[in-house]
Amino acid sequence: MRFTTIVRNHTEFEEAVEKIIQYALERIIIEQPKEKITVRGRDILVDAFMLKLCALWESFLEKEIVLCVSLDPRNLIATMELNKSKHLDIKLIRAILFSDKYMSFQDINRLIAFTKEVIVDRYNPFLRIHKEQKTKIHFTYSIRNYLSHYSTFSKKKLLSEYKKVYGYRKFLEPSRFLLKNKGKYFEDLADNFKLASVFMRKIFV
Amino acid sequence: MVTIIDELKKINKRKKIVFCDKSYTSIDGKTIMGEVTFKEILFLDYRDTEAGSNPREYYGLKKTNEVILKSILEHPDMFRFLHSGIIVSLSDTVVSNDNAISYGDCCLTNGNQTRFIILLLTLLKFLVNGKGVKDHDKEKYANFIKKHFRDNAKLFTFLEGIKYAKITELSNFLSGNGKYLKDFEEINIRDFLNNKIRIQINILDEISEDLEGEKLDDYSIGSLIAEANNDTQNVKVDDIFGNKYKKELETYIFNEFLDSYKNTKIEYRMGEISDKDKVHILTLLRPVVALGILTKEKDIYEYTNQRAPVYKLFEKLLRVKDKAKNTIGVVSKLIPLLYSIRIDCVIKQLELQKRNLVREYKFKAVSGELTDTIIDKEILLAKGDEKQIEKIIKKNVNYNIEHIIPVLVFRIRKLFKEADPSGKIGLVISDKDTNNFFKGLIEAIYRGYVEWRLKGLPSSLTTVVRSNEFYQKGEEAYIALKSPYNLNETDFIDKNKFIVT
Repeated sequence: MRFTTIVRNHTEFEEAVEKIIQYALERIIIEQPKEKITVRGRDILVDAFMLKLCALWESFLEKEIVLCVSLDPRNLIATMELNKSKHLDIKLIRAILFSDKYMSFQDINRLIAFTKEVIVDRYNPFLRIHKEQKTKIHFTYSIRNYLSHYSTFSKKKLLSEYKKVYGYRKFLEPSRFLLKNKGKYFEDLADNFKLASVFMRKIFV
Repeated sequence: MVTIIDELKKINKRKKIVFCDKSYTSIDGKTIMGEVTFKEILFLDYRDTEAGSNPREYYGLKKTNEVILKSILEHPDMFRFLHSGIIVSLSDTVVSNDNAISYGDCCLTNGNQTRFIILLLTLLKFLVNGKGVKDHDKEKYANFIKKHFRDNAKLFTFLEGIKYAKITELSNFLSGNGKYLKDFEEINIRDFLNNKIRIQINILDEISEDLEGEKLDDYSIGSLIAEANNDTQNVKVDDIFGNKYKKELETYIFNEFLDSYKNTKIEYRMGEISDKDKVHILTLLRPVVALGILTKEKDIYEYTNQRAPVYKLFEKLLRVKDKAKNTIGVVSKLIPLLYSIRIDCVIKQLELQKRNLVREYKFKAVSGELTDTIIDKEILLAKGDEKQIEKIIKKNVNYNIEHIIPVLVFRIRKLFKEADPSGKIGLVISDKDTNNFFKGLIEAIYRGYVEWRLKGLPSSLTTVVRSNEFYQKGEEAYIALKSPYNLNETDFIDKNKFIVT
């Protein structure tokens, strides 16, 4: 396993995020297309972009964890109480980690705690994500959960995050919030995924 | 406070100058002299009136104005003896009695700085209303004028046109000068406004009678006086030009623009229009120079990014308007087209590209990829603090649209064509391709601009944007874009060229 594969995972993720940001800025935030998009259309699109960003992040994380474990699987072996002599290739690592259960990446702190159990510190890029980035990821997931469920609980949770992170007192539909100030929040939260990835991959260069 | 404000509004409405006591009138009736109270002069017109137009705006608390301010604060009651006073030109006058004169229009030709200082002191006094001299903000000022002057459209526009920064400048001066702050705090506004100032009045109706046959109307005489009164003073080149050539510009240069953009007002003098939908003359004239339709190729670079040469060029063009009739006609048609490119493509694209570039450079900064730039050390000192890094990047990725537009226009100058038999001018780019074409070109120019700045400029930015080298930015992109969009260059600009010498 070489670092280049891991770095490629990062660059592919960063490029995909950047494409979404650029598309959103160009199509629904700054440039008004000739056939003007309605407010409702803009709301639907920005919500969809947020969900897609989270999906990309999760797919990136899944791959990242597998690749990092493969660099040195000792923690995984110890945690799962596996046979030390067993050679673990990428396919096997993926099967051990993700094949029989749904792994939730929604709580960034729990995710990092999990990576500590399976990735050795030397190759654990998740330890490089700093506090502010974690706060923003956590907030993004409050939006994602509300958009996925529209439940009372997820709404309450999002309101509490609005208060905590941005000092908002009233509940705002995510699209209204994300499109505020010419989409500043949307851009910032999306870009945060990219920047977190940059900080993470520094461990491999 | 309300009573005083109502009184000031009444004074403005009555269009009458009331002297404190008797006045002196010259035998020929062309000059009247006397003394008036401060409250009489607070809102006298000075710009673009039928009685002339004073080219000199209030320029803030620079040397002389600071001296005047100190003098007013120290000895308001002695002011009339210490300073020469003000001069106004009046049209359609009726001298009702020895101490009052009614008028149709008024132009404050001399003493505009003094008047503004008195007005700003009055406004500040109203704004802080007994509280600390710095107890105000932009919103408070906006609310104040809205509350008290909304019912008087003229005064409301006048006060809206006053830059809030000038009020802040005054309160900063006072808060930093204890002695004058005390004087300010001790001012009783009613007493203050009753202080006297000397006034000289030029009666334009009488003056113009002697000048029959010289084709000089009240406006021209008034402006002549105002310009002569301010000739040795510090007047902005923009204001002199706009003031002097407004009518000719409207008739020959901006006629097509005014036809196409009926809701947009042209600002001939900086700050004269408070509407949002306005455009300054320089914004319209500058891109024309970049086309090279009025100058030799080598002069384009230097002229475009300087105000004075642009005005000089159009001044000369208007002087030979009969000879340059065809070019003037083409220029007047090009102006709305160039403006639409600015509004529809450039502004939006620059805003979009700026955000993209900020992200891109922030990304590069945290990835350690800006080591060969002038901000390398600043980035290192930020120690990964994203907010700080973003601040550094934003400062350097910022653009001045007036630097970018001339280069863009210069690049596309061979893409203009006579679009239809009516003589309308267009571009050879199809409507469906316009957006993408401009997007590519603007991105290339802007990116080059930022890269250049980050590498470190050989001299000041102002000098650099006037260089031939800067105008070559975007050349590669232009060549690359020309072929996929099937763009055939034209000689339209060359054919309609008139070199102004």
